[in-house]
Amino acid sequence: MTKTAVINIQNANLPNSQKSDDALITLFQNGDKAVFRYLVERYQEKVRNLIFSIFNEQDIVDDLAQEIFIKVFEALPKFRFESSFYTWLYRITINKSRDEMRKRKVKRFFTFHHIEQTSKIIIENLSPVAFDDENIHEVIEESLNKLPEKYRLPIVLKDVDGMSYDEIADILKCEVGTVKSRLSRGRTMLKEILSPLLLQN
Amino acid sequence: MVQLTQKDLERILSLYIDGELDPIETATLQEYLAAHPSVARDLEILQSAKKTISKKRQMPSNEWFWLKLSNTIESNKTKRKNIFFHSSAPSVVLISILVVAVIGGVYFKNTNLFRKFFEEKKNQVQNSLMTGNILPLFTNLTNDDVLNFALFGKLPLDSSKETELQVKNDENKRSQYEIVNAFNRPSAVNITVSDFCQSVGVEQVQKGIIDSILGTYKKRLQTAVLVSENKEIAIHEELAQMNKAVVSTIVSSLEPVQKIKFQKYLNRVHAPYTVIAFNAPAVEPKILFERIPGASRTNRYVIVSKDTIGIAEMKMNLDSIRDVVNNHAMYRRVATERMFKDLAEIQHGSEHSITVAGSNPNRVRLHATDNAFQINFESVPPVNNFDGVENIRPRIESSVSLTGEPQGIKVFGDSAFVMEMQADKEMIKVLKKLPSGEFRVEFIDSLRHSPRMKVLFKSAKKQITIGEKNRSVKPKQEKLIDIDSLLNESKKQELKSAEPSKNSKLFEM
Repeated sequence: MTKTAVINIQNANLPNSQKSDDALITLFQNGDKAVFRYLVERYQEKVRNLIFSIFNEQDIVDDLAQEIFIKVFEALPKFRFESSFYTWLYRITINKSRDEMRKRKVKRFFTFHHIEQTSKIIIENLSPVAFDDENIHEVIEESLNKLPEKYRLPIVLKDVDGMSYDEIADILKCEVGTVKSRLSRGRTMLKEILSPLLLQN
Repeated sequence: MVQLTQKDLERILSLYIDGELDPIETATLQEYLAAHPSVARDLEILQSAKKTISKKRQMPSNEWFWLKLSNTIESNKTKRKNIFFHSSAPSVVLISILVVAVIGGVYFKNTNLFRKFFEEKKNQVQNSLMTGNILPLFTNLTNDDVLNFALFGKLPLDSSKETELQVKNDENKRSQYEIVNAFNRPSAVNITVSDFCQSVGVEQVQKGIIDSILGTYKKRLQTAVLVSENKEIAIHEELAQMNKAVVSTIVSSLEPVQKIKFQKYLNRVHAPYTVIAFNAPAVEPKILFERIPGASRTNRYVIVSKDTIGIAEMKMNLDSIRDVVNNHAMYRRVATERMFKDLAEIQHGSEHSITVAGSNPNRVRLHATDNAFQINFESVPPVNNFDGVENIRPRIESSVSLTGEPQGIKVFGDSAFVMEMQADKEMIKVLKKLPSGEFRVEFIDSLRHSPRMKVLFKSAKKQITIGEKNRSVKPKQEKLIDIDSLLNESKKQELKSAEPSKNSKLFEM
């Protein structure tokens, strides 16, 4: 029995909102474009938050998320079930975000420099806090944003989205060992930024 | 004691906080930590950071996300048709526009530039409506509202009913949408369904049918007028016919005696209709509802923004829009009154830029006054959108602003404007005032009607008047200026000015 057939049998009696991603995609590929809505509603917030994690700017989130889902809508007929839908979606999200980042870097070189400087100032101006302080979120977010993207993304995918090393490797198109070492390196860098900002007690 | 390099330690700590170490490795690490308090402190920081990051601040959710996305997907699928510039037969499109404008000392002439510019401007509005956040204007209508709309063509725009959208028609199939302050108008009777049923002698079962009729049209009305976050309005062309269709459907559901009573009722409330075919028996409900089309038969909207008006074909995902309305009560009855006031203020401002276009057989006009603005939409409907309209005959007086007007170009002066575009003539009037001095482009042209074309550039103390030119004369290519250059030039002028003009949108692309 093919994978598609299994999916259809398992999900046939469920309402669309409860069908698995693969079942919805199968329906979509068979012409029921309306089920795309359920996929969007299931993942829109995850995609939006991932974009926000990458850019740390609210303004860009919705426009980019729309572009990503349009791309997904166009590419879904060719989806081959070789990976899970959400790792595929995350991969598209990260690739589109990197494209956007590149465009911005070209267009807004000086602005980016300014952002870097501003970020540095913010970090430098933060007062030391304890882990139970309500400002700890701000301190950690600012510290996380200071990390280069290749170290920041694995941390976000692991700690925010709760993904496994294998899934992160699949999304970032790298080896599991690379994921582990980037996580390790990223966390060490984070610790180095955070240490002076934390109260000794 | 295990000896670890710094890199090994970092890696092991990272695996540990992810729960990836096996029991033996965990025990080894704990032994190491006991002997190295500073490493234990580092681990504590890493664990706390992971915990905090896992609760990372989330983006506020976006209720409009799917609606916007579905409209974008829909619009990508549908080849949008610009009925002004694309669908007219070539013979009809052979309209002459000769434009001469001076912007910052730049002198240019090219019909196509303006054509392209206005087309782009209209497409911009259209795209904004198609892809931006849009909101159905009438989201909280009651059956009483629908009945009032049917009989008097008015729909409340705010909860206090101080502002109304008034729909009017005349015998020449001209439609007029007027946004007015209710307190500026003679007090109208506000009727209720109960009062109506009592007056006409409607039985309980029939009342259920009438409620269903009103409910069906209410659903249509919900998506007949859409507004965007950028203060643009799209009015479906069927709105102008819908009021008659509701009355007619109600008449169809009545028995002959009730029809007579209904006529008396219409007279009493001064509703502008006359019932015909009194002797026809009530139509079976099943047939009655089959006559009401389930969906709009056309996708044509009159679109209005603060500097553009036109007719456009837009395929909207109306079900999604209704979904949002029905599922999110918080979006109901949004404050659109302010938007209309803003629009009216902008539209009648003498400094503002205005673009209007239309094409045969459609014509759109926007007329702003101090208290309101009117959108006049003349159209020959492609099909009769609603069946059964033969049951009534409108007695409505022709719109004052339309009655007796000769065909052709109308200009109401600088405090108001009228723009027309027909098969045989086009007219564009652009008024713009820059802080550095008045800049004004006024273009009214028709080969057939021999109007004028005039460019004033007062800041340069220069006035150029150019008469009508033969359309067969093709402007020399080397003198053409790309529209972007023109706009850039305009922007430069504005930047040089001490204070930016709030009405500079026309030249911003």
